[in-house]
Formats: sequence, C-alpha cells, structure tokens
Amino acid sequence: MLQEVPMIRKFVLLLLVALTGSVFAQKATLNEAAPNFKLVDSNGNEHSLSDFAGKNVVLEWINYDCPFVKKHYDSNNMQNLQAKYTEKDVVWLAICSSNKGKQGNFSAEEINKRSKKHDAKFSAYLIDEDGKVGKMYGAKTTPHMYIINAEGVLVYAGGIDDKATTDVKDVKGAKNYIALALDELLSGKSVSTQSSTPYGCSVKY
Amino acid sequence: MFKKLFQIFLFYVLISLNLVAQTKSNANARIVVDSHLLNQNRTIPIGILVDLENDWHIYWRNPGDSGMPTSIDFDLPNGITVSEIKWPAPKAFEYDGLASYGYEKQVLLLADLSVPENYALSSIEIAANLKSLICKDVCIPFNTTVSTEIDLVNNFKADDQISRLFSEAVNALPEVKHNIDFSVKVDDELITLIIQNPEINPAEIESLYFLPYDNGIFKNSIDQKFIQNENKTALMVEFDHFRIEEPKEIYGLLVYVFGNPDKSRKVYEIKKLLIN
Repeated sequence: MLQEVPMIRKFVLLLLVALTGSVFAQKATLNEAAPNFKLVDSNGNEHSLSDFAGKNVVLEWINYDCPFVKKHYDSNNMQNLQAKYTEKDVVWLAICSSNKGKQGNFSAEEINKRSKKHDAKFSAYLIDEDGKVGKMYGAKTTPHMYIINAEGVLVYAGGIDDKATTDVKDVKGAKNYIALALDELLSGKSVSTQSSTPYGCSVKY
Repeated sequence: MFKKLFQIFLFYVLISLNLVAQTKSNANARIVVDSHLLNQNRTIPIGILVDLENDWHIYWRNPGDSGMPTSIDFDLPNGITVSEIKWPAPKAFEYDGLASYGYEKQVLLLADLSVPENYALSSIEIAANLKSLICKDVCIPFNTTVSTEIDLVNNFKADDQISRLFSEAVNALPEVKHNIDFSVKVDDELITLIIQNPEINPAEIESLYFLPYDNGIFKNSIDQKFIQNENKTALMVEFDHFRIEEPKEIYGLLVYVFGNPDKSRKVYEIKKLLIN
C-alpha cells in the first residue's frame, strides 16, 4: 500500500506530461485558447505567450526580404500600427520562422540592424528557426497576422489587409483588418472580422 | 596600344552589362496574336505569353497558400472589347504542407478581342498591364506593361510556333461543357462531392482533386481523398482551418490524373450554388 502512492503519483505525472505535450502540440484555432509558446528574441531575452496574460497580443510573421513585408515596412504601415497599438498597451510580437540558410533568417545583430533601420516599433522580434511555433499557428505567409485577446483567446487569423499586392500605393485605401480588430477589442467589442485570406511570401520553413 | 586596351575594357563592360541584364530578367512577357480571318469573324485570339527562367513560377488566379493572383488589365481603344482571361489548368507546388498553384517555364494566358463591324480605324494598339509575382525559393514582383499593334484590315497568319502555342494553351483549358453530374454534402470539417462522370473510367483514376477559384474557404492541397463506388466517386475536400464562412458555391476545377505512364490529366470546370 505504501508503495502504491509513488506508483499513482508516477502515473499522474506521466499523464500530466502527456497532456502538456498535447497542449504544446495543439493547433491554434479561432475562438479557442491560443497555444502557449516560448521563444528567444533578437536581444537574447526569452518570452512566453503566457507572460502577457491580461493583454491583447498581436503576432506578426515576418521576413524582412519578402516583397510583401517590404511593402508594409517601406510604407511605414507596419511601424505605424505597431506604434499606435503598443502605446495602447497591446503587445506586438514579430516572429520569424525562416529556417537556417533560408530567406529571412538573419543573425541577431543583422535583425537588430534592420529593425533599427526600419524604426520598427514591435515589442520583440522572436526567433522561431525550427518553425514549431509557425506550424502550431498555421502561419503560411509573411506577413500572416494573429490577434489574441486579453483572455488568451485567438480572435483573429489572416492577412494584414484586403489588398494582396506588393505595391506600396495599395496600402492607402486598403481595409486594414488588424486596426479594425484592435479598435474593436480596445473599445470592449468583439472582433467582427475574425478571419481573412493571408497573402505574402511562403514562410521559409 | 591605348586603343586596344580601350577595346578590351569596352568588351568587359559589355559582357558585365549583359550578365546583369540576364540575372535581372527572371521572366518576360509579351502580347501574341494568333491567325485570324477578319472578313469571317470579328474576334481576334490574343494571349499574354510569359516566359520564366528555370525553377521560377508565376501564379494562377487562385495562388493558393502563398504568392498573389496574377492579374491583367487591358488598355484598349474605344469600341474594342476583350473577354475574360482563359486560364490553363495550373500545376500545384507543395512544400512543407503548403500548396500554391501556378505555371512554370512558359504560360499563355488567352483572351479574345472583339472588333465591331465597320470599325473606323485600320489598325489599333492594345496594351496589357500585368501584375504578378514570380517565385522559386524567393519571390519578386513581376509587373510590366506590354503592347502590340494589330492590323484591322488584312487577315493575319501567325507564325507556326505561335499558332502551336495557342493550340497547346487551348488544349490545356478546362472543359466547361461536359456531362458531369455532382451533388455536395457539407459537414463541419469538409465537403464531399459525389460525382458522376460518364467520360471517365474510374479504374484509371490515380488521383482526383478540386481546385477552387476562390481562396480561403478550402484547404489548399491536391492530396484529397476519394472513394469509388460503382459509377460514382466521392471526393472529400477539407475546409481551411481558419474558415469562418460557409461556402456559398462550389466553383473551380475538377482535376483527374490518370495512372498511365504520362500521368495525363483531364480538367473540368464545375460550378454549383449551395442552398442551405
């Protein structure tokens, strides 16, 4: 009997490990809890999604050499969104899932150099070189955008806007789904457009 | 001596410029015109011919998981009209579970120009603005304006190579008139197309897939499950994971790939409104 307690504990522990594993392996789904992840940023600091509980979080899949990403950085569209909403306590995480040797995979020094050149205003640039977080979120393109609300629920997945082009001129007049969704969240409303077709370069897994 | 050195210098400059030009042009486009008899028909078959360097591809009207749709806007003289673009069936490119649809090497996107009877001008210039993206492991925008002059007085005989390209492009178009009958069953995660196609021997089918014209409703993949049952085929097409809308219609291409050595294909355009 005395020996049974550790056996049960061991079983429960194994079950918990298995369950935790399945949580980490889960796929991001709209209107469900956003799967947690832990990544290191370009300054060597570690971030978990769970660190930002209680805040609205934007995930932006990035590849600085992709023409679609250039469109939104060369026009300052992305930086303006980052600045506007991080000032309103939104956490903005750029995530790069480019594998080693693939387009968009840079050293931390090069990432910071490029981010500075663009005057990027995200909260952190996270490195997902093995693509696990990208695949968990089903990230297909750069950019591919996600919004997680203060309750930790995924409330938006899709494109940054409705103009699937590389032309900087198309930024003006485009329907920006991220601004729309964040404005709604920050005014206590639910997100009216929760999904759109993402457009851009393929994520270089 | 100085003259000779200058000639050598000039030679290397020209070689370098040529290399730069070659590396920068991963694709080029032009308008081509097929043979036509204006005294019999006021329709002129034209096409945008896109040539791509090896390993590069350009996208179909639905690019799939990445890229962007190729679009063409014509700039035409008053009174001249042009049909919708006729898209040859695309190839699928699948990497890391992501699928895109497009064309490699060369594609001819067809259209028909209509000229009214007794049109005032004896010749016209037409232009086409092509907006597209070309990719291999990286992507670059390919935006260009191409133009050509067309004689409206005399009949035109295209050279054999161009006529052959038109003939091949027409053969690669999906069949729009056919005897396919299909019904649709919509479930939470997928739709099932129950297909009856009297033109196909089910035993010869190696793979079968549906390519929608619109992006975002269905999962982009040509790896779709199908089951044969006597003369009916059930094809299961998964929804996109982030889809939030119910499909309003089934509109796109049904592609049969046969198990012969050539892996030949037969492509049909299918359309059905879904009424709940």
